[in-house]
Amino acid sequence: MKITGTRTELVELPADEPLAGAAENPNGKRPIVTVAVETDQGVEGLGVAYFGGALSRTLRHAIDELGALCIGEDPVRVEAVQQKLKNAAGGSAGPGGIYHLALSALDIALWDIRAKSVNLPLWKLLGGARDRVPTYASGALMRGLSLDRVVKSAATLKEKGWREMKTQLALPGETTPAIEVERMVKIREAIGPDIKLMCDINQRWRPEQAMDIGRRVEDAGVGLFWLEDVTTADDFAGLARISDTLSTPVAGGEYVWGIAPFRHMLEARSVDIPMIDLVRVGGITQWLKVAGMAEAFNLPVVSHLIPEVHVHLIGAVPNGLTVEYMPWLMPLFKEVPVQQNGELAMPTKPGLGLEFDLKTIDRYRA
Amino acid sequence: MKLASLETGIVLLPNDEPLAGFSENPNAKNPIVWLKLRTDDGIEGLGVTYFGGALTRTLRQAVDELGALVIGEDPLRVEATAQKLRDAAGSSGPAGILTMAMSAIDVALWDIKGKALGLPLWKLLGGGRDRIPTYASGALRRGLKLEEAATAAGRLRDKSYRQTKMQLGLPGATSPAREVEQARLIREAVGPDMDLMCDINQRWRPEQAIDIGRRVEQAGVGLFWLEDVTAADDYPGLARVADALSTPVAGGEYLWGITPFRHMLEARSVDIVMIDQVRSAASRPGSRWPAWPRRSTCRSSATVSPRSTSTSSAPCRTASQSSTCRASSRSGKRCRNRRTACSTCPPLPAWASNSTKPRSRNTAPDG
Repeated sequence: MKITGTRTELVELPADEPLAGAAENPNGKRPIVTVAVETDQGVEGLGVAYFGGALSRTLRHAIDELGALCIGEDPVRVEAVQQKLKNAAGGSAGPGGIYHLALSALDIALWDIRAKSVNLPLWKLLGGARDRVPTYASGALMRGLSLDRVVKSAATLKEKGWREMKTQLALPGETTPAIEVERMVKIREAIGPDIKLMCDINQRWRPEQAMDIGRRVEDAGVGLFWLEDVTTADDFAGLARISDTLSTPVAGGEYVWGIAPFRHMLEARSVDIPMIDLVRVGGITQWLKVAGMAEAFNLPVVSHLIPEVHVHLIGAVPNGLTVEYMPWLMPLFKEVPVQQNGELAMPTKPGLGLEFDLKTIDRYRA
Repeated sequence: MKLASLETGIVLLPNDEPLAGFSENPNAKNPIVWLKLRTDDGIEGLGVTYFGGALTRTLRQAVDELGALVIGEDPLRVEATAQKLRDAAGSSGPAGILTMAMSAIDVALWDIKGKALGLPLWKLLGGGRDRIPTYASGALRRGLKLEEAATAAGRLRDKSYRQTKMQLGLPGATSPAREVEQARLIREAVGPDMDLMCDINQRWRPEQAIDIGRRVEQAGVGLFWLEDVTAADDYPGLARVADALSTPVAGGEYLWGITPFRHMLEARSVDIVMIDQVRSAASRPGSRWPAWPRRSTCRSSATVSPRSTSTSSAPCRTASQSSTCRASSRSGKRCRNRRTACSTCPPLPAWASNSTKPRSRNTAPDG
């Protein structure tokens, strides 16, 4: 089998919030680059990349340039393709940045092709550890919402059957440790004691703030399932201090590029729950390596964004903890995995089991 | 003062080797993206970026997209501009193409600032010295035949270079003995008084670096430094090598931004810190680079682009002269003779303003 071509699109999806209905920034847009990889056997794979921001056209350009280099290659030999692209990109191959995002989009498509070519859903090809995995509602309880709104949305999620959900602290504008703690107490009251509640800081605290506020949240009896990205992601030593101080599990890893930073993070004991971002790590090929590394450290892994692909990965490996259900890409696909009783069932179609919705692409093409 | 316009282009420079005359790959091209930023009062700043390889057009696209965002900004506020670009670029960095594109803009902004204040950049940044040592780079690459490398090394000596860099981690069938032989013959050709550096470009594993590095020491080659001996982000692995060898270990050109240097320094991974201006995205004075090496026991060294990096105010050990671009090799001759900073060399030549067809082959220099 040989790769014969790639097709890309740049779309700007509306930044709506379908899980609980209250968007933090209803007029915002999310630029996404899609790629389809064609083969001489008629099997086609799909991939996506995002995080391009103001450089989204540059990102698409990178996927086009790397895609052209893939023509003639065997799509099943993902490591050989990665090596070829890395050599060709030379110093722009990072590690990290736009090259990595573009590489990831192509890598996802190659795994889609590989699984389709052996007529297996991807999760089963990769190991098939479980039939169903826990999932949590994400993106619905953002820090930009008012306290009233976030409490209502949390209750809505519970009514819709979610058993795990994530909110955010490090509030915008004037805030204090007391205001931060108050918000968590109110959310916990709204959802009751049995819902797993995660909290994301998105690197906005310094280590001493994380220890101070984190401890106060513990003392208030909120009972977090994890506290995420509490400080700068590459402050491995600072993160380790926080993990050591708090009894709340500390999650992190979505902001680092490639696999080597996970080594440093794990060696330093920076986090209790490594979180892997599919497009920053370098696609499915590299995602699996980090999951293996975490397993050897007796740690679980969790996913970042794109549940449509991550359901396969979390379901495939033995230490997948839960899938972040962030619905940002939902309109892009004809069919997506759906939460039932707080879980996702493994897809049954070959490959990723995903198909782009061409109407969406036409409508939101940038 | 406001930024009013920008112009960018790609040039494919011939991969010739003007210092000693043996090009490793004479038919290859080095793709370079150039940038000119102009202010509303007519000051023009120059920037370049490279390492784009097969993604050079993507890199230019990034410079164009980011460049459009700085129009209307105050060119003197380099930190505010960098923040704006980082915010706009979302999560497409910090490493990779975003940083490479930002570096070109950063260099142009500093060029404008120096011109606006009527000062050569090195003086604006602190003005540590009137002249600095420099070493010949790119002339003794690993792709040359042994006899070519020895001849080239002799020519460098004859041209009165006092410092030069070779490479090990040889291509094809090699052995520790073969590697040591290469180093020994080049040392013979340059004589005992030349400072001789040796670059591995991350091609060894730590245990190879310790083994071969030790054998090179035992052969009496006397290296000034051994560079990038293993994967740049293997901080503990590098520390083992630095610990095991008495030869100073240099490294850092492959790291992006500033934080990885913290990890490298904390782990004592290297003895000599090498900063790549394009990858570190920083020519920022005071708060950033120059302060670090001063506080540590390390010395800093610049890599790849002598025209801009040698103007640093940091207590630089030495600045590299590579044949990255024709401009730098020209300035290299002048700088060698006068043993002075490149800031005194003439402005960029005509090629810098001629946009050419996109690149065809990846031969971006890896320092």
